[in-house]
Amino acid sequence: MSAGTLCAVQDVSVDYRVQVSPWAPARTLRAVREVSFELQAGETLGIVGESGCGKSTLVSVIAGLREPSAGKVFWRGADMSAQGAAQRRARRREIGLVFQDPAGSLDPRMRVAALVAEPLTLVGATRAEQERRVAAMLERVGLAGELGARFPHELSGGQCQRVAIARALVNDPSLLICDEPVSALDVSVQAQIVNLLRDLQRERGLAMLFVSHNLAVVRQVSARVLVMYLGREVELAARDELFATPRHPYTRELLAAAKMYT
Amino acid sequence: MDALLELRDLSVSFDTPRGRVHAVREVDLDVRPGECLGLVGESGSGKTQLLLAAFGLAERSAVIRGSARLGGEQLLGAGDRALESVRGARVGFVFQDPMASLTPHLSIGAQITEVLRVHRRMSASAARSRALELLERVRIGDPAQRLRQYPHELSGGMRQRAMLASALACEPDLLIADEPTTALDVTVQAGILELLRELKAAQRLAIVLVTHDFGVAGALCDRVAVMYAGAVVEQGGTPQLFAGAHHPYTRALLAALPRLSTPVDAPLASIGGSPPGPLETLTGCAYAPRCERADRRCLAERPKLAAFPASRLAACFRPYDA
Repeated sequence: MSAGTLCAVQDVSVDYRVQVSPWAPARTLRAVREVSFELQAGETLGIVGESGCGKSTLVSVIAGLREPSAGKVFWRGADMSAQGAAQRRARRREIGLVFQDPAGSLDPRMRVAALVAEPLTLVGATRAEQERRVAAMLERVGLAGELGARFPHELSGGQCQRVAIARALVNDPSLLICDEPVSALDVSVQAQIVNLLRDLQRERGLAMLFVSHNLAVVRQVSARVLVMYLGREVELAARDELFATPRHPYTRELLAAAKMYT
Repeated sequence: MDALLELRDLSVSFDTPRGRVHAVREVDLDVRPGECLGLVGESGSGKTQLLLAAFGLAERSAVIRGSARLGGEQLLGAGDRALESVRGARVGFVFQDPMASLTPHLSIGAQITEVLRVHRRMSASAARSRALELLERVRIGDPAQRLRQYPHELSGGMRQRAMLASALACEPDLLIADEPTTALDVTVQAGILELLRELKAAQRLAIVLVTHDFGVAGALCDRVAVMYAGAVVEQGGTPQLFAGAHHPYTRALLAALPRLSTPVDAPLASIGGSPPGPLETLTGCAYAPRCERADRRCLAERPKLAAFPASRLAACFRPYDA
């Protein structure tokens, strides 16, 4: 691990207990199998693979939402499993999360301004400080100030995703994890959000984990790409190398399928 | 050639407590026998409502005007019995979510044979052997075993193939496929599109493919109709439309689609703003507020679909040259 390493994943596996019926014994499903990689500060890594390949499970472990069944995750060199509650909270503050379904990840009873301010209340920001930062953040993600008084159901899908991005970034995290952030959006809106994420990543020097099944989108936002299949990492390479000379047969198949209609 | 499906001046609206919602505005559309037409548009553009209304599947509260003919026969206002014999027998349907379209407590075999027994009055054993044949045709591995299985036991791709087998059971002339591959993984999607292409060639099956994805339409369709805010804004042969669209919306949408060849250092082309809300009354072109070419006339007057060379149509006062 070099000094600039933000996060290191070492042989991480994640198991789920699956109870098919109340009578059958529970079985173990290994969703992620011995995955290892390092993410440098300010680096963008795309994670691609089809549904069920474990990409969301993997990032949820890095986000601290789930414990790995085996292996270790290091955050700024420290073993996360050995950390206490206070350190965990501190790390969580350094990670912003954006999910696929923008409306589903926003509390429908809260107004936009309150949704964006909520992470600030957790770090004890003053009222005035909150207002100032929420206004700046809303402006930065391209939302007019008067939208702050609206509820999520009054916004379009693209606007909701901008709110989710504002909420994820308001605490100045060092890592932004995006799990299929544009999959539920229309093409014209999808391009706006991809551009916004790329601009924010650059101007803030954010590290980014970008999970998607869409190779063309991942290619736009990632310096390196990790390809997963059935819980395993099958290929990890720099973007241009991966798209020009895919080495693993599965990566080739994915690329061939994507080329059919792009 | 006579059209198999002929929609004329078809409008669909809903009266809601907040006002009248215009889902589809005066659409003219033809589907010829054996051709595949792509109906492309973003969510809320009216592509699904258009087809639901044509085949009597729209909600009861829908106000439908215009005409929809299948093989010359008027569908709008036809009785439930007449429509039932059209759906299933002459037109097959495949929707986005096969799990929601298949009945969870009936085996795949029971669902396919039901279609045959109702529409073709087949005996149980004849229907069963025909169902087996259909599953083979949609390339499901181990078809005899699949007949006995329930929807939850199949993968998403297999479910969509089973759905397709049931839609094709009565040898329809027309297949309506509404986002058939949207919920599937790319490699599985490629397989389903390949299958549709084969079925179209082998059986002269006409297909209407409803999709938000230009890429999917490009892989399968002979012609594409682009919808925006309830209206068809452009129509033409797929290669011609991809090579150079007349309508600014079509151009912008095609440019916004990230491809594996799109440069990575420049921002992606995107369309500013958002489509008009369903309750908005439109005076001019629905796309004008987002259009970089719009002038005064575009804001005041609504353009109608007009003919362009190479049998193309576009609804625009300031179209691009192809």
